[in-house]
Amino acid sequence: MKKGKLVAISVERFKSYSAPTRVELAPLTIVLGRNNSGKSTLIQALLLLKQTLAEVRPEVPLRLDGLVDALSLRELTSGWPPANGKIVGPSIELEWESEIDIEEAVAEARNPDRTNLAKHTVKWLGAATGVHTVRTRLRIDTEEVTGSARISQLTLDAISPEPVTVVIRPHEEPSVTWAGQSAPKLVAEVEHFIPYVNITGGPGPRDKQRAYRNGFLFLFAQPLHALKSILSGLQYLGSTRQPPPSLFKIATTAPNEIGVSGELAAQLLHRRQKDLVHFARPLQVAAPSVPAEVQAAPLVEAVNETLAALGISAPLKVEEIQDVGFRVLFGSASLSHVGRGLGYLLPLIELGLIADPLHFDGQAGSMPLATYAARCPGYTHIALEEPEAHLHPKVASHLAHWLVSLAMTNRRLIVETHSDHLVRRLRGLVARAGQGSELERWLLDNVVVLGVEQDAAGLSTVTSSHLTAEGGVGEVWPADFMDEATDEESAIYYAKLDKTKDSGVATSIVEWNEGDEPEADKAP
Amino acid sequence: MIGLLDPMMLTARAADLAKPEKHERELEQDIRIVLETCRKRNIALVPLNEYWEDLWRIGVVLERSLSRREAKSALQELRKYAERWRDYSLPPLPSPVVGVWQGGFAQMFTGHGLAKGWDERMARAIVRAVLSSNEVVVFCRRVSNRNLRIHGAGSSTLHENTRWTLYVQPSVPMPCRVLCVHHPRNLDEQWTARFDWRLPAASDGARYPFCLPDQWWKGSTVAVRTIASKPAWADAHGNGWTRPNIPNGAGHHWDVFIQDARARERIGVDQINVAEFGSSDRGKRAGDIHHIPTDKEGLVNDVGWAC
Repeated sequence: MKKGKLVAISVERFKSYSAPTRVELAPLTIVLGRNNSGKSTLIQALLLLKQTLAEVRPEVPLRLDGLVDALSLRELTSGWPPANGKIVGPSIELEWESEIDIEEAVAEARNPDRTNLAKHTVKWLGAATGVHTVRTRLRIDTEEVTGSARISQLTLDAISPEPVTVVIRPHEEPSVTWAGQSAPKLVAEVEHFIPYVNITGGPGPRDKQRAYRNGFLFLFAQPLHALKSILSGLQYLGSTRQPPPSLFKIATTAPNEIGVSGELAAQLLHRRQKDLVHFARPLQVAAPSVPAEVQAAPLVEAVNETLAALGISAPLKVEEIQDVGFRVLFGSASLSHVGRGLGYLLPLIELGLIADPLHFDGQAGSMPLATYAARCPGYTHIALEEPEAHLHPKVASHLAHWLVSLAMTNRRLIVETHSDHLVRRLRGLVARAGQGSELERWLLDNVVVLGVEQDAAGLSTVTSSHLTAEGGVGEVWPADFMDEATDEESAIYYAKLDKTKDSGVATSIVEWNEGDEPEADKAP
Repeated sequence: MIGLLDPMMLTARAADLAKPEKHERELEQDIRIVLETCRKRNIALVPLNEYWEDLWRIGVVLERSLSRREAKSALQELRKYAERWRDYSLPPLPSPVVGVWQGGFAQMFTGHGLAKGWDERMARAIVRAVLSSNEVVVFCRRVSNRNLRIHGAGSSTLHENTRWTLYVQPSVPMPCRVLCVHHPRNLDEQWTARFDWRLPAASDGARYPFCLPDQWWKGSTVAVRTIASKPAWADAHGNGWTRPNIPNGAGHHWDVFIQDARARERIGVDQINVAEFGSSDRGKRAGDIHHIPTDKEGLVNDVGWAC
């Protein structure tokens, strides 16, 4: 996997997002909004692409059964338009950063004429060597034609270091256009929504269209591969959990994921309990700072350390029951008999730990954060819905420390939350961080707060803000969020005043001195 | 040290004007100054019965009028900070309350939208605080024609504080001066409660400090003069310190008109630009030469002066 990271997502005509809506994604993106405002829709756009990539038939443009389930593409289209001959469907646009290994591209394109390549595509490819970080965008336009969903157009943008746009229309007079120039000898194949470009007719090495094809291999093949890795590797944990049994069966192979409801958490813990995961402990409560080191510890040990840092003292252990299965115990209570909060928290902690891009690799011990970042082959993207569910306010607050630690260690998180405590603590962290400190800079640069609102017509809009050094939320304060608790405190205070109007405070009579004020000759 | 709040701090701030956001930001700034000063100096903002609950009967109207979340939070924080001092032990108030000079209380706590009786409430609260043998300050909002006189000439404006001290003497040997604070610097340099807190002081290590006029604390001491057709703070040397004629008070320095002939001769010019206290201009220490205009380059001897 090239070091790919999603940096923005845009949607249009997708569920409640009718107008084009672009949101930047940070290492820690917090999504706030009322119920049914469209918060989950942003995550659903990613899940839709992830479940589509998992579909074995590459001709399926969007898989509509799975976590994101729809009767038809029209159901996912804003306003759920009625069936018609041709319906313009949703558009989803992803923007990501990844690396291009020039030598790998040269081999893939079979040592192309670089002068020709630079002449017809982008100049920097002429002499480029080594590995380059690039920013790329893929826009997926969909349509439904006589009841069948399909891709109407794919638009690829190489954004940096030098812009160029490739437009691919896979149906109805299929075409490939390079920077506005038609390229009839290029033929596109689309695997779900990932395009590949081939050349037909054998044009010579200096042909313009040959340069376009090679340009595609140089500029887009590796980034698209990185995008597939990002989406396939996206980890998602919803806000519901299945009731755990007292006894678990042993999984024949270790699960790769935790399950959308955390249903595989116990099996994964059992199979991987002694395998190493890398993690930074949640930021300290008393004196939070950027962690200097990343620990590598067996999964169970790492879970226990994290739980302890979040204020949960009951130690976790996995107990084998010969020939039957295993139990997960907190102290001496099985998972099915501990408080619901712990049952909700365990999958969340596990997910954060196994999302380590270096998971199950390396040696126990610690390494500097910078070394860890350099060794990581990439980033793991995580989407969480209401991670605070069933948690005590104090633990919900501490969760902010954990999320920040994760985001500092190559996990990129999108967190949908209703937790005033969690968001307030994030604000508190930045407010308490020393002025100009590393932690303050990190939080200001790497936390984005998205406020989602829905208007009377049911259409969603998003505002994006950063935290401020004073602990505020920058550009737009999310509507109706973080007001309730404090406003209620005010209401209680003022109600108390009303009840104590006649408190009987003795009022002494003031006998005024009407003379000149006694300005002393001596300096104060 | 005990701090009390000026009730004008919580009066509805021109909510009917066209720019409520501006007023709310001013409120946030005023409260920030109170909280910052209290926290840094551990000032007890004691919610004295003599005025506190009536103060928040004003506050409720203000809070409900606010549209900015930040302004509401500031107000709530202010209240929460004071509530921490709820159990602060103070002696009871004598009856009758004597030794309160009416002039300052009438100026500060009557009229300007305040209901009748606030002068007496504040007198009782201040006397009770003073009787505890603590130093007492009142955090004041500056309101034009109340405790603030704004002088202007072009874009050069000068904000003269017209009330910096309240006087009480309740069964203590000497009259007590209760400082009216509008900026944290007022506590380090009490004279800035009257003069502009941005004036550089000798204690700042200023090469060109603002030298205090004799008996600066007395109302009879002239603080503001017109020099070079602009309102100016008058220092002990007779020099005039004016704000630069730049819109919105930008400039981060003082235009100092040197009146003393010998000083003019020593320095080589009759006007210098001196960096203000708290200047955000990098590398400028309060009281240093801020800049030398092109036409005066080569003339200025940067010799400084002492108070």
